[in-house]
Amino acid sequence: MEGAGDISRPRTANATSHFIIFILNILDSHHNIYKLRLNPNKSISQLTLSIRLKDYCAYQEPTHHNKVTIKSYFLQFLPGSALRKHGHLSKPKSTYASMYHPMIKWIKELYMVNYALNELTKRKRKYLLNIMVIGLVVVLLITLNSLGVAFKEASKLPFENIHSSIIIQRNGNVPENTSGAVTPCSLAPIKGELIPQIGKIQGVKEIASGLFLWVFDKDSFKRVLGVNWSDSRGKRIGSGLIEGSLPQSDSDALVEKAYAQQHGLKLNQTLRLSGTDFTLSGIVDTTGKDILSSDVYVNLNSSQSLAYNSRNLQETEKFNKNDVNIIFIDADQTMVKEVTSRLKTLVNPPAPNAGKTPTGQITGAYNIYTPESFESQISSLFLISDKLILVLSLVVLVGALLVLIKSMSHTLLERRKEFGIMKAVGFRSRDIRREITIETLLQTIIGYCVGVALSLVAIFALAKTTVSIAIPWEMSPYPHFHTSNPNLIAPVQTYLFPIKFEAMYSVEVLIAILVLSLLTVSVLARYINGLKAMEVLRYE
Amino acid sequence: MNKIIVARDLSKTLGSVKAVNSVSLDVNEGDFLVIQGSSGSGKTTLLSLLSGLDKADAGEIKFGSEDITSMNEDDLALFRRKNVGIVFQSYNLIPTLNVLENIALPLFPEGGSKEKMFERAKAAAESVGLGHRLDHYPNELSGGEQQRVGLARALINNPKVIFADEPTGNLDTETGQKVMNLFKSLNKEKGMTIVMVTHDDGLAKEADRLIKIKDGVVINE
Repeated sequence: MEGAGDISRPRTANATSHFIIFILNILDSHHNIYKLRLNPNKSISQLTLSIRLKDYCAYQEPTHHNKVTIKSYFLQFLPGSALRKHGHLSKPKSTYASMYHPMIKWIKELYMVNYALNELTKRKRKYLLNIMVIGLVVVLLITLNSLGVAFKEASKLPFENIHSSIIIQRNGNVPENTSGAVTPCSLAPIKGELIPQIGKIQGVKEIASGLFLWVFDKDSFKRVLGVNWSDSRGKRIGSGLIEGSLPQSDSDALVEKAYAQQHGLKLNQTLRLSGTDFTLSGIVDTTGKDILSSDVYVNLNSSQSLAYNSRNLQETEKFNKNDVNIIFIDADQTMVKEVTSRLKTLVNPPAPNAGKTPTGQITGAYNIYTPESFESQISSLFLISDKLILVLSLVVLVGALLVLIKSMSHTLLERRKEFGIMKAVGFRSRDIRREITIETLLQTIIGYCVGVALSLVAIFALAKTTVSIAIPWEMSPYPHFHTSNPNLIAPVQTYLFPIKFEAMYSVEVLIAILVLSLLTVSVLARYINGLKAMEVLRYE
Repeated sequence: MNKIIVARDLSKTLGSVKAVNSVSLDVNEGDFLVIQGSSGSGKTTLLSLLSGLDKADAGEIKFGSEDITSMNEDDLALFRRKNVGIVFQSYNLIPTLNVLENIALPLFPEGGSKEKMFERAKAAAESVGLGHRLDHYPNELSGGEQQRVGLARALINNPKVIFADEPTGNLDTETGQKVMNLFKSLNKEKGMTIVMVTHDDGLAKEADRLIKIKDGVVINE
């Protein structure tokens, strides 16, 4: 045993040597060291390895058993190994394991990569088709998926700015005739007394309320939102002020920029709302800031007065001066569920004989929207597009599979004669399979990279586009029966398309496409290897 | 003389034709054996059996100490790589590989250093007089040059026997003679065993040993 004299106190095989052997077995996937035995009487450095030198080149693959120590096994890979220098290793480097070391063997096989690259560059046109097909599949899959994700993201955008965790609304009836100030049927009046009760619920951080009205005047329709300028909602709207100042008195009003432009309204002009005159103290631009945007913003008091004085509204449902019709509750993030369930017990259930609103909801029933409920409501709308994308992806995948198999088999089967020659000069089935596998892997990886590059370009371009999102009507502040302006029926907000490159998905695509092409190649290899060298040579 | 191939009662049916019918023959080390027969006589089939390209339906071939009739396809491929070189009438070069790579083709599956591989291929190319055309592609070569590439490829693994199937069949007389001279010098100077198949009487005269075959049966020896 070489080097035995170096160790004065032999350590017996212990946990360390077990661990070394465990690691070696993992590393040794080629089973060059196929038996690692522990001899309890020897030190770690003298662990005996039975090394099977897989004679890769030799015809009969003879099995040699050579006994070397772990130390010498690894030391010989070092340049100018001390072991060789001191003659510990009697045989020259080439006959020992270094030649058969998995890593070295792998490098030896690199020539097959060269050969495959050669094939790819010499038959550019043919492989270009395969690469383009793979690229196209990758682009379609990645882009479709990103589109799907982006649509979902986009659908949430209008609600991103609702900072309150919970929104309370109540269903109501539509007034008999449309004149004066009325409440939309999704925003029936809520008793003002409810607000202090909500304030007592544990976990509620802030409450903001508003009164949203549709004002039908003789020749115009306006959406009017009454807010408290000092609460979170009012502050948000106020932050959009672009001209003038916030209302100083109950007879002041702000007007939305778009509405002002449409109707040629200027600062300090008088605006008549259901018989009451307001002075335009400022212009705001809330685009993209709030789901509940309006045409005109006034003090909560003023809107409550408008509602209180509206005969039409009072006839539909009794309205008190302190009533509102929308409540925003900012709850503690961790307590949203508890607050929601407390709210549900707090609000009165609808009368047993309650009728139904024009949209089939029970009159008087409260709607408590939480972030989750918004999401589910929205995602149900986008479920269709989701399924569509799934179906499209599947169609792409199946179509691609067919095209890929066809173009791959074409390029490979065209080379039957070549494979026949290879067999004739001594390529085994596995040599040919390895060759076409490497070629296919190269094509797949190149095609994938092309596909990813194109997807990035496509996604980058798409990210520059805008997307218009229709807000579900029941969350819309627009009257659904007001048909004079079709744009008002399905209010639309425009955002930059939130499309992103999904890195994880692209990895999944890579795996899928590798599996796909390897499957194809294994079927083809089976076919090619089924051909006899002689038959292939006769086929000319 | 050492017998390198001992074939006994070889039979092979192709379709409904008995291409080789109970043929027995020996090949000695250093032989220049020509198997002559007309088209369809079964000579190429016999060559494919002897060289391990195809498997016989019946009979036995001992190549050295190995029984190649009992080998499977992969074993046969390795056997061919190690022991025989085959030269074809239609050269059978790979169009996307240059001369050097075509010659080195049998070395590819073994892997190993690229430099060493091409060193050997270069030596083989030089031995057939192609040292100056190493980076040319088959379509840039004349028929005679292509056949010399084929021969160099057959020689690359230092085979025990070279099999040639009408190696001059696609060449004009003069070029054919040059290729023939190469085979002869290999046989005379290096003692290479050569088994050649031809229908040509002229080439048959060059042989040390001549076997005539007709309808799958040896008619003289």
